[in-house]
Amino acid sequence: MLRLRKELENNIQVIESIESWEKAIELASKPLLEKNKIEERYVESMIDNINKLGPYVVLMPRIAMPHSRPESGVIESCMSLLKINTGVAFSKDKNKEKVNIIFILGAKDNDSHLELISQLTDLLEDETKIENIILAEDENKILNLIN
Amino acid sequence: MKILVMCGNGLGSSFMMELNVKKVLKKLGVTAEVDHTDLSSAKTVQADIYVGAKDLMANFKKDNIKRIELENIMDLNEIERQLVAYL
Repeated sequence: MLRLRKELENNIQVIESIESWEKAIELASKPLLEKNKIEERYVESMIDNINKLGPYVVLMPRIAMPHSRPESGVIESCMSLLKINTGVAFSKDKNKEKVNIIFILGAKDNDSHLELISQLTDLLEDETKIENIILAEDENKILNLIN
Repeated sequence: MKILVMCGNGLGSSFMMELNVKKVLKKLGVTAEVDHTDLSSAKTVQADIYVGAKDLMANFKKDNIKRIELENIMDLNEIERQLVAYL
C-alpha cells in the first residue's frame, strides 16, 4: 500500500463550505491533533507562515499544502486531507481560483516525509484523479482514489 | 550548473519543485545539480538559477541572479518554458 494512502487513512474529511482559510487549516489539522501527531502550536505556525510569506502553499489551482517547520510542533510525520466542496479563498486576489483540497503536512525532520511528498507529487500530476477526488462524495471514495 | 529551489520552510513544496525540475531536465536531456532549501538559507547559497513559487519569490531579494517564478509549481510546461529561456 502507498505510504500516502496509509497516512491519509482516517485523516480525510469532506465538508460543504467553510468561512476562511484559517478555519480550514484548523479543521484539516484536527485528526492529526487528536492522534497526537502534531501540537496545537503547529497549527498556529502554519497560519503565521502564510500570513508572513503569502499563499505560496497553494501548489496549483484548487490544491494547497499548508505546513511549517518540524520544530514548530511536529511529533510524527503525518498528512491529512480536507475537501471543501465549494472551496475557500487563500488569496485576496479575486481572480485566483478557490482551494478545494487542503493537504496538511507535518514533517518530523528534513527527510522522513520525502517519500510521502514524492507520492503526493505523482498524485497531483494526475489531472483526472484530482478531478475525481474533487468530485468524490465521501472519505472512502477519496481514499479509494489514492492507490 | 546548479539550480536551487526554495520554499518558505525548505521541506514540502521546494522538494516537489525539485522533483518537477528534475523531470523537466531529464526530458530536455540537460544535466544539472538540483537542490532544495528554505527562503532564508537560499540567500547564502550560490546557484546559477533560483526557482520558487511566485508568491514567495517576492520575498527573495538577491541582485543579478537568474530567477524562475512559478505561478503553478506543479505545471511541468511552465517550468520547462521558463527554464529553457536560461539554458
